[in-house]
Amino acid sequence: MPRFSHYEAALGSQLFEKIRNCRVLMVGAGGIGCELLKNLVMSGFNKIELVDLDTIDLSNLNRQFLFQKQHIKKSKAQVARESALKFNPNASIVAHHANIKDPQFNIEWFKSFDIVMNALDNLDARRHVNTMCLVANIPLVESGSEGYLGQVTIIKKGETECYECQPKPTRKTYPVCTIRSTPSSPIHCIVWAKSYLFNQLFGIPEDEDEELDKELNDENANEIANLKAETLALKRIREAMGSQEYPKITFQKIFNDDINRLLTMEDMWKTRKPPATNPDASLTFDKDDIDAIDFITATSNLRARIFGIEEKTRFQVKAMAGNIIPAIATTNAIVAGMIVMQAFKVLNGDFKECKTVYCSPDRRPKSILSESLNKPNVECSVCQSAHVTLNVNVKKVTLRDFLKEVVQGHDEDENDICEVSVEEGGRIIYDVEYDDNLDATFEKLNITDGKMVKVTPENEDEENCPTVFAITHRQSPNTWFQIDGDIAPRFHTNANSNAHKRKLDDSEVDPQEESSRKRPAVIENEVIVQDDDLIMTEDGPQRLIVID
Amino acid sequence: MRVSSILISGMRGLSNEICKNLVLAGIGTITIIDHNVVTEEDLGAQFFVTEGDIGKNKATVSADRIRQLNPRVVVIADHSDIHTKPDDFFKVFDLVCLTDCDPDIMIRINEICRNFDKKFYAACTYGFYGYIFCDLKQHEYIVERKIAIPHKDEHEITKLKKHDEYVSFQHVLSKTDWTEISDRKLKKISPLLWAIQILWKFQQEVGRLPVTNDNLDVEKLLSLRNTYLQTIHINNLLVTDELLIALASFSLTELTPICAILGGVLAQDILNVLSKKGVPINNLFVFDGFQGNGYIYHVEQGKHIV
Repeated sequence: MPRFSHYEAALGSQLFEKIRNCRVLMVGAGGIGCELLKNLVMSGFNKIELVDLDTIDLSNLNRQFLFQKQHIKKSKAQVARESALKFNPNASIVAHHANIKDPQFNIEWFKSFDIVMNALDNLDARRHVNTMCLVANIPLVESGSEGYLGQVTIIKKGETECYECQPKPTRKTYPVCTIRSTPSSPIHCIVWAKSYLFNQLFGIPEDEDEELDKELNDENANEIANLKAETLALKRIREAMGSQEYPKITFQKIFNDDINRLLTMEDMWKTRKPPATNPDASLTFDKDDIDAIDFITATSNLRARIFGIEEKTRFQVKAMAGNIIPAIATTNAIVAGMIVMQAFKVLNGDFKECKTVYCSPDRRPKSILSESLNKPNVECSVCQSAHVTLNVNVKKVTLRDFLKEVVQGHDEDENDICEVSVEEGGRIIYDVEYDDNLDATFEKLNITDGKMVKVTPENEDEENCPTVFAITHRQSPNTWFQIDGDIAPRFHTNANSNAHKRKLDDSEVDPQEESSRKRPAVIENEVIVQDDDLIMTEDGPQRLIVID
Repeated sequence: MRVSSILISGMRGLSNEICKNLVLAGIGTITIIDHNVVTEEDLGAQFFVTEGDIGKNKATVSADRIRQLNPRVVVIADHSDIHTKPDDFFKVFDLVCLTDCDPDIMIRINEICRNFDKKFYAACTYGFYGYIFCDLKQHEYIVERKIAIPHKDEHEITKLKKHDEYVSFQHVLSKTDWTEISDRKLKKISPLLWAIQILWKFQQEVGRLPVTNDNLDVEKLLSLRNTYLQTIHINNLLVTDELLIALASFSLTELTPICAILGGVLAQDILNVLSKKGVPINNLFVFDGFQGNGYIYHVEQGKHIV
């Protein structure tokens, strides 16, 4: 095709063929996403799916070029698709206006792609996609931008670091006493207005007492007690919300009474500037129209004034309160170009050529530079677990069945306590001291299709690493298990481990088998087999464990 | 920035990206000039043209689509050949950006811009490779530095005023004293820096880009390399046959991801220059898309290079 003549010439017909046939998942259709979708469609990618839960806002229009004024309030994913199709009407693009964490986007679905590209702006979604790609064993191109800085890297199970191998820098937190009693910077006032006052008055108040207890020591015991009393008093005042006196009482308390109380703590002000209760304030407290940012700006600036701290504009407050770094459109454009360049290398099977690429004006004269990918962190709790898919009937299988048949294996004495801990979604389902749930079905335990169950042996060593079981529900009259993937040798000692292990080494996979592997496995409803039989599925030979 | 008038010459993949970025940001007026018509090959990297536009003038059809990105920007299409434009044509613009141009027109228009005190950029992508040349003649700008304030959870932002002098494109082409640069720094220079100059020399001598299927062209290219590197006392081995031939074979190839990266870097530099904030490229950005590296070199007579 003439339109792709440049790509065929530059990439070679073999790689270009792969590009034409591969299935791409793009997560996010915002700043990076719009640019990325354009790059994918123009570069010849033909089977693209994209997911975004957002709708288009006026503020997006100066960066996200697939959207125009008439698209405001519509789905980003759907409009992006429509606009991108204009570049090549023959491309196949499927758009999902949904959250990537929705249960419909399960492991089977992820497995149907050859490559996943993130175009996200939040940690939570990135963590989720990271886990899904590790379990599905699909390469992930991860990216991000912050102001003028941009970065692209590759995540591939076993070969590279995963998203959680390195701890992410946490947001700066401030000691509670600084926020509640002795602020000295505008940011202290803003955090006070946003995290304490706003929550106490309008939100679901976080357990402020717990935060205070964390900082309890001999010296501040008195102050901590006073702060707790203050919080309680504010809670009581909140009950009066809606009454006429409410705003006056609240204002009086937080900007007068509490300050006066602080002033009585003379020791506190020996080396610090004390607050003044009657500053030259021309700010008025408007009870009728309290927009979240207006409120925080007003209250934080008022508090700042009381403590003699520099005040900030609404724009600055919004930026500081929201941890916002303004997005730069050109950075997103550069990052999206870097993503496709790395994708070419991934599809070519060239993991050794893949790099982490940075765009950084501060590192001049090298304003774009690349570094080798890092090996996985051997202590990473996310990617160093074995990841398998467990096909199971969640309505029939109990925790006991799972522990006995999958975790422990037939040969073990049934009365032996299974020395593992089992978690799902951050809660403990089972451990050596907690066996209440043994007879509940997976479904009763809310372990349903798409959930991840992590089994960690009490004695962790090389042979006993944790295993994450991604649950795929299968209708079946019997209770049976089918496991796809490598599991830790300790588990399922019943099976002949050699026959069971199936290495997913790309270079050994025959292309024909590979394309047939991409279709999800079809399991019959009724299966009559003996325990330990080898059955041929579309995914290759699988060992069966049958329990009646 | 919002009242600036910019000229972009050549409507191919790279300039599509530059126009998109500048128009989204909100330039005053953008004039695009290209005398060519749309062909089917153009659909690969030029997202402002579609199949229905084949045969029509590129500037005219692209202008329509560019306007839709930001109705506040004035977009003017000129379908003449830039080689035929008189000097005065360039007077009205604040900044001129040439894309995919030959070195001779770059020399001429750069001189004109210098005479009229206009900002000048020239850029091109060659498959996975590319460059941006910048000549602002004299440029004053502000640089912001963040300094942490002791004992406070804050940063202070100090603003520094800077003044930079630039050299012309002709000056860059005429640089002969490369050996003034220390050996240590010479070793770190991307060979693309010289390979691109050899390609320019070919264009100047033969009047077109090399065709790598043609043995005579390849011979000429390699012999130019030998002569040039000998003249400037640079080791022949630094610019390999493979690199030079690859560069030449890609000289007309355009790939969207590379255009996107180079177009992003260039557009941001233009925005910075117009708003006089931030350090501009001074003066040659060389991009190697294979390696994933982009270096800014300061090419001038003398021992500085970075």
